[in-house]
Amino acid sequence: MILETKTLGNILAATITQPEANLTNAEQFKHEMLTLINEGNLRIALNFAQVSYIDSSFLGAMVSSLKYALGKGGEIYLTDLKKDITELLRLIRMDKVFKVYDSINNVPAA
Amino acid sequence: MPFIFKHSTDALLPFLQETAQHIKNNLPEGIGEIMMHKSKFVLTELCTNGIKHAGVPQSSFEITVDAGYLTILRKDNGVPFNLEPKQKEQQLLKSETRSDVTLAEDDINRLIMQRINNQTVCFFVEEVPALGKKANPTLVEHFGFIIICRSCSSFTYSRLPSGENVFSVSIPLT
Repeated sequence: MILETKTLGNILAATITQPEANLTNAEQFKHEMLTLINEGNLRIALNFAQVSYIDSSFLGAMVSSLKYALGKGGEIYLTDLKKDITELLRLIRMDKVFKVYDSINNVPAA
Repeated sequence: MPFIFKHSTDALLPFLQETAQHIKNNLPEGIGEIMMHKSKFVLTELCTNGIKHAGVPQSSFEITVDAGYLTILRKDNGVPFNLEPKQKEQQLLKSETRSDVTLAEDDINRLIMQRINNQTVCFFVEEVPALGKKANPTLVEHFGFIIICRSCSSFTYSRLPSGENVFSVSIPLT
C-alpha cells in the first residue's frame, strides 16, 4: 500500500508513504486512489510530507485520479508539499487545477 | 566527464543526488534554490524518459555551467524520438511556412514541437489562457516534456547521422 488513510470529519486524509513518487509506484497509487473514490470518499486530502520528489508519471496518476474524482463530484486536496514540489506544480500550472493547502487543518469544511 | 545513468528506477535517486552535488559545486555564488529545483526537474524527466523510451541500458549525461546557462545533455543510442507524429505530419508537409506540431494540448498547456532542420527539433510550451473556472477541465496526463520546457529556456532533440539521440536543455542562471 502506498497510501495510509484516516478519516477526519468528512475528509479522508491519505498520506503517501513513499519518499519517491515516481513511475515505479504511479500505477499502484492511481489504483488505490480510484478504489478510495469508488468507496465513496469524495473529499481526499493527499499528504505529501514524506515525499521528497515526484516525477511526471506520478503527476499523471494524480491528474488521472483528480479527473475521476471531479467526474463523481469529488475533490482532491494536496497538503504538506515540500518547496520544490510546490514549485513544480506552479511551473506546469497544476496549482490552478489542484487545491493546495499547507496542511489538512487549512482545508475548508464542506 | 560524462555521468552514466543506468536505465533503472533504483538508479534514479543516487543519480539525482550525484548530479545535484556536481551542479551545486559548479554554480556561481548567489545562484539560488529555484535553479537547483529546475535542474532537478529536468534531470528527473530526462532520466525517466530514458527508462521509458530509450530501449537501451543506459544514457550518458554532460552537465556544464557556462555563459550564463546550465546546460544538460542526455545522449543515447536507443530508439529515436518520433520527429514526424502521424496526424500532424500531414499538416506539416502540406504547409510551406508552418513548422510547428502540437504534441499535446489541454486547458492549461500546449506542448509544441518546432522543426529546426531535418535532424533537430525544439520543444516549447504555450500557456492556454482559457482555463477560467472550469469545473472539469481537460487535462493531459503526460507531463515529462512540459516539465522540461517550463524549467528551461531551450529544449532541443537531435537525431545525429551516427544514430545518436541528443536531448539538450539550457537553463538560464538566475
